[in-house]
Amino acid sequence: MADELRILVDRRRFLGLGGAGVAALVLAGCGGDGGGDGRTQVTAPPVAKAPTNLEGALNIYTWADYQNPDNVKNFSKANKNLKVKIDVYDSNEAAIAKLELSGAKAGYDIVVPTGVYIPQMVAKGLLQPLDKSKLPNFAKLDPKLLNQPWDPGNRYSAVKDWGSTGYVYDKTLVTEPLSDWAGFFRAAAAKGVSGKVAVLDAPADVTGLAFWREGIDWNTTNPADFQRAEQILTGELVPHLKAFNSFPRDGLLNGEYALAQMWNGDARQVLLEDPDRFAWVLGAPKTELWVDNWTILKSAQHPQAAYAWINNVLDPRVSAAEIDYHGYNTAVIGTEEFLPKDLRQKELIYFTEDEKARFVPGSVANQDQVTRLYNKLKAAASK
Amino acid sequence: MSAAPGPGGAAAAGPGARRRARLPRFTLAAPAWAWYLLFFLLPLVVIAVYSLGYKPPPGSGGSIGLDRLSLDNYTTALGDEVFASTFVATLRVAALGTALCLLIAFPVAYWLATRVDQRVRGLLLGLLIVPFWTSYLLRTFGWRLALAGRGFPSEILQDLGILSGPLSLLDTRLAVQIGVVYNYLPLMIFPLFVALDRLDPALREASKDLGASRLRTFVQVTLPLAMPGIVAGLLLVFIPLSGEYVTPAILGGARGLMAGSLVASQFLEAQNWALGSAMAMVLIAMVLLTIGVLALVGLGVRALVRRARRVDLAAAGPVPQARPAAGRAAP
Repeated sequence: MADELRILVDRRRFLGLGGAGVAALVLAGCGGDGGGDGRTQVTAPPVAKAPTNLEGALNIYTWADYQNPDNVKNFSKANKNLKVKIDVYDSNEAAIAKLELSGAKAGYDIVVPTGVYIPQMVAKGLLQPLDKSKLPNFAKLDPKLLNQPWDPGNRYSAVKDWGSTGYVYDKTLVTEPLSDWAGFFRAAAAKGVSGKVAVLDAPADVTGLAFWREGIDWNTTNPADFQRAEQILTGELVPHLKAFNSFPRDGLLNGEYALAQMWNGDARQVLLEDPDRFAWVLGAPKTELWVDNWTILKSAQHPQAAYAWINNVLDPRVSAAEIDYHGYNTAVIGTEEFLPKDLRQKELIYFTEDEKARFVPGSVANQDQVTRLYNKLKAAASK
Repeated sequence: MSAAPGPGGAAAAGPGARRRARLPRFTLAAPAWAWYLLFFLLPLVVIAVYSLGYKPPPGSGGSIGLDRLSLDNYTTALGDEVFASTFVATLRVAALGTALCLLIAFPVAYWLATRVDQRVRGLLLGLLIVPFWTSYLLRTFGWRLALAGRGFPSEILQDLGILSGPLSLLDTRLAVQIGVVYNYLPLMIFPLFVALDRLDPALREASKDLGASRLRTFVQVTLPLAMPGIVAGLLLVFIPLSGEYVTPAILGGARGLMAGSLVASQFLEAQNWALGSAMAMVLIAMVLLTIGVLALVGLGVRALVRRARRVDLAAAGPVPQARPAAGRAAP
């Protein structure tokens, strides 16, 4: 039951329903999550030292199921029972719309946007520049993930975690070992797999399948590129598609899907459940790099607590507990030594340099074209 | 969309028998008017204005540009073959869903209104509302459990030997259809029940006494008198169903795209509020148009039937003077 419901609360989407109330309900229903999904290997660490003049509360606006509750509890306890409230959203666009419309009244201090959305949030005047002197642990972030095109010099953001896209397949149904996006398309068309294929319910990730495979710039705005992508996707993918599903874990485990596009952290959960039956492939030759970021709102009413929180989660020990919980790399250097040596499916968290070379950061420049193509694919799939 | 009044229209304002200095009559309706003005008409106007705007370049800070207005978004929405084909698919789901609701709801409502003991009736009607105690979203989600290959209906059918392998209806159009009928059924049953409940049994008895067969009584007495309930039920189900996007998103998988999802994707994925607004306006217009056409067809059919029946009655010779038993007005 909890597994079936989890489809509602994956990291990136929440079915697009904007129901924070449901999130609370579902999360409560799934309380004690962690049995058997590999989240229990690390005990929550102590809290990094914080200044003593913190406000008594902190309101975080973030993705669902994206925060180790033990870290929240410890932070609160270490700071005179500071009240941490976490509210969730289902998409960057929805979060931005809400922040923009209700302004300071929304009452949030910290928000966790995906990198490519930071420029528009800055333009809308939602974010305040980060005072790095209040974030000594900022120095522990991997410089390779800093200074991205969406926030040069990290004026407004500190990396929360990052990840990429690939796919998971059922080895009992896909017999050929796969290694890239071309393999994904080949397997999708194979007998026994066709009709049991899921892709993410995220426009840029689905259109990306064609761009990444063909080595076309993911951020292209060239109509010819989109025509090519449409040809590929409607011809080679749509006929075999079973669902657009951002959390295909359960579908894979119960045999509804034989092949599913996934983000690495969610894919890791599948492999933890049944490593013999499933295999993971990181997209190639190119694939996505997404980065979610800590930002502080201009309207924050508890800025000191916000800084203390961010500084705390950037501590390698605390960060290790975060990784252990959500399965995404936090970009904090030195987390590995606080995780068990035999941490399972580690290679889905710590990518090799060779794998990192495939990463392409996104943008919102072609958002309209991507959405149009995506809706075309959905319409074609419903026929 | 439409303010969907109760069956037979809202009760007329009470007769002002004794005229005294009182608040104006519409005071009673004022809360409803204010509500619809603020939360229906005003937002509708906002959407209409937005639909004439444009999407500002990302990073410019705004969500909608309104300094130059044009009909470009309508050209885009109407010229988009995806929107057109999705709209047709939406109408199909909505029409089929509404028809199924009517077919399933009518016998139940009839049974409740005519065959069930008064004392039990309240309980049964209460039971119809029980599902509403749970969130709409979670109820729909429950269907994922039931429709999956390892869901209990499939397992039971396999255990009984009726199915040889797991039956998975999840992520199919049938699943969407089952889901929407389930979700909208009570909205059909209630207006039907109210209409049938008001129907005086004496009218049916009179029809029988006058020699009409059961079928004829049903077609010529019960059905016309239940018409306000049927129309209310059809509207209550068809209109929201046309804008539905939650059920298809949860149960339909790749086959669940409906016009509502397209509108939502413009707001939540493309950040194109202007085009999303235009699509919403087109959707509203098309639903109204569909209802208008259906209403005209309905009126036409009724006129034809009446004419045919008049001839029929005249040919049957002098009609016995049968007065309606109670003071209820027949249409």
